[in-house]
Amino acid sequence: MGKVLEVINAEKYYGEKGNITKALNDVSFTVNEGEFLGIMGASGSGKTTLLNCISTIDNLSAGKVLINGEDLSTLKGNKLDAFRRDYLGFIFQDFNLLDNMTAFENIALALSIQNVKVDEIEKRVKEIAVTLDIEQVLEKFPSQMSGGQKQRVAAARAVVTKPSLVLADEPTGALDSKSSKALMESLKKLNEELNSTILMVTHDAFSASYASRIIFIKDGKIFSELVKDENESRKDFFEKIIEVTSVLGGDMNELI
Amino acid sequence: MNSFSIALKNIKKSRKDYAVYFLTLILGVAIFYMFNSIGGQEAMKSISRSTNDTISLLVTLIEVVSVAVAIVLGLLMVYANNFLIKRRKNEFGLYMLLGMGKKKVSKILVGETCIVGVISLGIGIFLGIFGSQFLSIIIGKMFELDLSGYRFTFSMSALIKTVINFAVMFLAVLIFNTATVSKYKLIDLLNADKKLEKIKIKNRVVSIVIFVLSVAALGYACVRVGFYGSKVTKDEFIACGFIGMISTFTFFWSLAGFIFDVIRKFKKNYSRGLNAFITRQFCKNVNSSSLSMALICLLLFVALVAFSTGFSFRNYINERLGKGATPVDVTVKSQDEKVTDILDRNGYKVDEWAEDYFEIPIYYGDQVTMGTLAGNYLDEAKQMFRLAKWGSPEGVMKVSDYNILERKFGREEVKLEGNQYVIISDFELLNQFSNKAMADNNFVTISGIDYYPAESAAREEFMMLSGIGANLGVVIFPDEVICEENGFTAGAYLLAADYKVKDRADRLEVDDILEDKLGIEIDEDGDVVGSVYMTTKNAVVDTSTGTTVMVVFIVLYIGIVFIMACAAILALRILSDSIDSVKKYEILSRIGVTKHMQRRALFVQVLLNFLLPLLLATLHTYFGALYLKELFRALGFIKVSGGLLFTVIIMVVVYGGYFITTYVNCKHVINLD
Repeated sequence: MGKVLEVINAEKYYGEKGNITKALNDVSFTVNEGEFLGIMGASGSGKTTLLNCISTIDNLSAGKVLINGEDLSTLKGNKLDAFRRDYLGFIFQDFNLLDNMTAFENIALALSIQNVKVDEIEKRVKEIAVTLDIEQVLEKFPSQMSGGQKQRVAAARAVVTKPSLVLADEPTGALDSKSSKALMESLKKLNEELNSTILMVTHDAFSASYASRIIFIKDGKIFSELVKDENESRKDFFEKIIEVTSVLGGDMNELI
Repeated sequence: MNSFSIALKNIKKSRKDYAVYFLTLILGVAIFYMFNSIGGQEAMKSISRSTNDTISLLVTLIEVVSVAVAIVLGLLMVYANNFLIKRRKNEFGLYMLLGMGKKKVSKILVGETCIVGVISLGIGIFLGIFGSQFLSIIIGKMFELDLSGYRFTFSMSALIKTVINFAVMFLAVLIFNTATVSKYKLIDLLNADKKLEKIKIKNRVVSIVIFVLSVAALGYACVRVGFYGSKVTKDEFIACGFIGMISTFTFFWSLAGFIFDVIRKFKKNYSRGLNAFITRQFCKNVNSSSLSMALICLLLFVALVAFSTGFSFRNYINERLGKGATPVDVTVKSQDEKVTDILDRNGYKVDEWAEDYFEIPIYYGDQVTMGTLAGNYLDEAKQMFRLAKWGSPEGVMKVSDYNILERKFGREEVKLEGNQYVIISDFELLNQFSNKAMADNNFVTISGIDYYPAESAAREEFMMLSGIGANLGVVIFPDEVICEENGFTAGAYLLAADYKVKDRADRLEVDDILEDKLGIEIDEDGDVVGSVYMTTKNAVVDTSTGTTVMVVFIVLYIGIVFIMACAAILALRILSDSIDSVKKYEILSRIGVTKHMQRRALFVQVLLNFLLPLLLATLHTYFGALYLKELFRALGFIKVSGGLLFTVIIMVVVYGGYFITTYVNCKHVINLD
């Protein structure tokens, strides 16, 4: 299995000399092809900063991010945009669907900006719609869909281009528990059936339990890591996560 | 911090948002000043001897038009201001959340309006003062006026008018603003940018049916007016105008209902790059603003028609004045008594002042009337011109006499072979019947002998000097026909002469002496009393230029203001849309659309919005101009395309200027700089 993402000694500072906040402090990890990695942490732990640096929206102060072996810091301007377009897929907390376009068009847009041919676009959108069970909403506008459907459309848009890495930022943050479950099942399906590599940031233990590996971040550092055993049930994995988060929380309580 | 300093800061901070508002205000003020200051302009003073009459008429006209202009500008300001408030709902929400109270927020707005008002008034008047000099020079050049006495002018009355007008408008905006702010609810202000867009979907079948109907109606009105203009009666014309207006509105309304489905049929193009996004955005615009698009289209139509015909009118006049409209210095027509006899009697013999002259008699007899010339079309003619005296004798002339005039005026001589006649008339309205009759080979019978037309249509020639057409005609017969046995007697005499003096001032002097010696009296209304009627080259040139300058001025004024209003409404609407679209462009960025692609998408979208109403307006204008051409044919006014270049220049400058400002402004709003 190839390495899709390598984060090497990533550091990110905010502030001036003498008053520096380290948002990321020597973070290193790798994500292999076909992996479903969860990153957990409390607010302010640095997980969003990490995601921004991986998704080329922000730059690191020190260290490297390699995607498919390519160093992101060497990419500039339009090349960076093109890289984001061709190798990354995004799922956001607030869906980020274009509300004057139908679900079909929203998904197709990701392909048409890559100049994919019409027939190919139609074929691929339909395929992914079947996988994510959103065929019946393809001709609807976002305002006519439920939150769960919207997020699945967003997920379809993120993976339809077959990106090397799908980045999901709190994908269940705006969903009720039922929709959350459906979405996570869908992401898992994408991971298993289409072999999509997914990196998901969340603070919700339930969502995290669908991942195959979880990295916990605290105060900009990797705090611990959990790997799901092949035979382990999701329920057991969930309990393990709760344990770690309670320790995380416990430490926070000490600060009070 | 008091409200004034907050207001000042706000304006500094959001200068770019204010760009369109400022542009509109400054242009509005400048144009308003420019045209209202025209009375005192030097160029105007050299237009004609009867300067005061022409200018006071022009000033009155401009004042009347200014009322309309002020209303348009006032509405525009309220509209533009509304856009600014919309853009800043969040900011006001924040003020109120911090405990500022609506009164204080209103105060800030009052401060802002005042600052913007004072600045734009200042810059606008400054530009207006220079612009009016420029306008003066352009008009001078256009009509080859004497600008030797030119000096820099400033009109206090125009300044006062402008300031009062705009002060009233700003007051209106103030009241409107305060009313708007006091209506706001905090929750709406804070959530202003989170509102979901509602998509109104129109019934496709209904849309298509209405679209087909409106295109058919529009087509009918256009073809009817454009190609059959001569046959269109007044009522029919009004009906066609009404149909045109209604169908323009329904056109845009129904277009929005299905245009999208049509574009989507072109799958290959539709799914390339951001085309789907652009199409959706554009269709949404058409959908949500079909009303204003139609309004813009109609306003543009009025402006374009005014421009193209107004300027062709000028070209026509200039051309006529240049090309043999004034072949002699003076023409005099006298009833009953010979002109030379009157002058001899009054001691101003023709030989004293004229270098070259001739006098020819016009005969009248019962056997040739306007009615006989209309032949089989008399009934139709009578119906159209009920007041015309169809039975009264029409003037006739001996061919040898008339050819003296033709030679002097440098025109082709009339040739009659045997029993033939020729009609001379440049009064198209009446010509249309006699021409039809001539086409049917309508004969005129005099004492039992039939005379047939020698030419297929009336000669559009004048005998008395005149700026534009409208000479009543005469009929040319062989010399021997016009005799007392046939009942013809000389009823009028026509004298044409060139002065010995050549200088304009000297010629004016002779004009005055002649007027006195011929005993011409003019009553209060400017009509000639008595039986002698005189036209001079000087008067023709003066009145023609005066009339044309007036037409050109009014046309320029209305046209520019209308085009400006259209462009400003469009610009503001697009801007306000782009504020709503900020989020969409953010999403595009996130899914990896390059800034370059986004800028292109925005550009295409803005361009389409500016082009669509212009396109339909151009089509309207084409047919409208065709009709006007037909209408003006009566005055011998043929070319409409003359004003085209000027129209294009104005459009490119005003409309194009707004287009670019809008695009740049949108780019700023959407963070694509």
